Amino acid sequence: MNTMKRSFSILIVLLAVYGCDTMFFEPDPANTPEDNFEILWKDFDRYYAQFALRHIDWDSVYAVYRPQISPATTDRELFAALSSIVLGINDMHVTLYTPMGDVYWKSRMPASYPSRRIINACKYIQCGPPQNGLFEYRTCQDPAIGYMIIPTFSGQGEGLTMADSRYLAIDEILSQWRGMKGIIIDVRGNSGGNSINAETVAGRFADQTRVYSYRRQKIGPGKDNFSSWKTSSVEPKGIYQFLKPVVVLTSRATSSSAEMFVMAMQVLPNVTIVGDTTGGGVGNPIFRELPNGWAYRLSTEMEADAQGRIIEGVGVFPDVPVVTTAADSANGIDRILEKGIETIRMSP
Amino acid sequence: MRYESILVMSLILGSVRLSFSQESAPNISFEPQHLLTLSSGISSHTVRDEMMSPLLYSGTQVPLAFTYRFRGVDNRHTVLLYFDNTELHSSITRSIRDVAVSHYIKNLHLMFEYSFATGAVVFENLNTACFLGARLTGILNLRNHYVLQDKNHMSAEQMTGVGIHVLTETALQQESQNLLRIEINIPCISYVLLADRYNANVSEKLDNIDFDQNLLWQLFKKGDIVSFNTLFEIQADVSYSVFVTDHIGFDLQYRLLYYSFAQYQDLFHARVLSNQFLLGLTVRL
Repeated sequence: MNTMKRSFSILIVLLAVYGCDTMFFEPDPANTPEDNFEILWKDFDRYYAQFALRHIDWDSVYAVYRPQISPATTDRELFAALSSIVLGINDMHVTLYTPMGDVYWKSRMPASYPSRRIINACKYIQCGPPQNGLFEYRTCQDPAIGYMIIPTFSGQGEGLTMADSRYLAIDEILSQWRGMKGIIIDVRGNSGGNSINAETVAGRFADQTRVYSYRRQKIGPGKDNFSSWKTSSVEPKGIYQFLKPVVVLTSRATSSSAEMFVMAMQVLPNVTIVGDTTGGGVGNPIFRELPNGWAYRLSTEMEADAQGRIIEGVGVFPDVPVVTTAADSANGIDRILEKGIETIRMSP
Repeated sequence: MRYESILVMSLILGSVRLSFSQESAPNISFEPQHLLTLSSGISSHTVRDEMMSPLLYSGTQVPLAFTYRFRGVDNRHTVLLYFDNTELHSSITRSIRDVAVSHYIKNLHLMFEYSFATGAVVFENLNTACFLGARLTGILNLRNHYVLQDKNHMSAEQMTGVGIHVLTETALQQESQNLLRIEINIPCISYVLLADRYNANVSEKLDNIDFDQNLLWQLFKKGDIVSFNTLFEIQADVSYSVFVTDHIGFDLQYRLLYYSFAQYQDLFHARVLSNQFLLGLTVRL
């Protein structure tokens, strides 16, 4: 009988502990318009890394918008207020996701922006049936020049492996192209993804380890709580590195991790960047969510190129600036690709 | 929070002490034994990771654990391997099937422990032996947070700590091999990985990693040594072993694991509470 009592008393204590979440955690914030606004504002206040860079007085944002929010504020009114705030930050990595639509600042690309893609492809490259791989690669009309489109750097490996093994296909392509005079890599339409994949590809063109960017991160709630500047490096990877002339084609649509790829390639002596300035946003965003189910993301760091120039909101400058105009496009001319081919041909 | 945790432990200890204080004074056998236990049951995880969300996420799962115990004359050795992969929901999780409107976390929890304790004192009137020692604990808590369709991000803590380990064994009856164990462990010094990456999306940013080389070793080199100012962790176990034959028995175990980790002061706290009820089959060699 005593054993039963003991077991029962222990069981009671264990069950009490088992249901003790509230002892270790504060309750969730309330789902009210005021709480949702406050959470979003405070998250940006604590985590967003680029206020000073973008000349934003975040306290004044609070002073302007907070009085507009009350318990009677509807979802649509809250959406309007938060959308206005998000758009005012002018950061491509700041996005508000709601059932009423996604709100994000679009880059400075005009509505018609032919620089972002290849034009009149069969004029410049040897067209063929569609390819199934991640990379689209062919030779130019000059068969001594390889042409490769990398449409994205998205994807990640399984578990703790961060690199996506699909990008290792670059080794097979380069082994086929060992005899080429040069290679053109087109990332004009690449909006980024996983920077590790970008480094995986860039390393196949590196002769030695080189620093290609500097970054610093938000490490505290204060506006000036940043880490020291840290370096990112590109280093030789793979069984073979292609060290002959390489041209990387860029545009305003080249953004995020694709810009890291461009920065990594730009420091390599055999690489020339041809095209338009890139989108201008690395930011390393994190996702957040509100008690009403809306989500948003914000940038937690800032990035500078190898020369120390901040690229957030600015972009990476090409070595050879060229744009394809609407008139070029109408005439079937890909001005950027033409310049790329010319650069390879002119190289020693 | 620490005081509340200590209060809970005190309650457990006090309860057990009261439960057994009127028992006659049996002897506890200390014959060397090797015990292997394979356990499963139910685990409950509750997480608030400020990097991911201001909301609490919780869920239950069927875990798997393997334990090896050595009961020596004066010493105790324990090795534990634990695994569960839990889906955590919050107050705004709607339907797992519809990712577009869902917010949930897939939480991988792996644990390795090695404990050593040596006999400190015997309370004969309580039928209890008390052991003191140390425990080496390695924990990986890897979370993949699904926010919206095609939108997810990861966060993780991997910590390996050495802490004070207190073990009590109480026999219910004279000469009985059926034991009630209570164990408390508080890591004092820990080595935490993903150190300067915690404020970023760890799935995207692990710089200077050469993926052609040994990934684990490179990750291991990126750690920090931390103590209570960055990581507070407590583990408490209550387990009861019953042998139905000389070699076969059952082990009923409850474990509470709580930790609060902040990579940077006042920024991105991760608080994790894990409750585990395990029922295991034990083989005595």
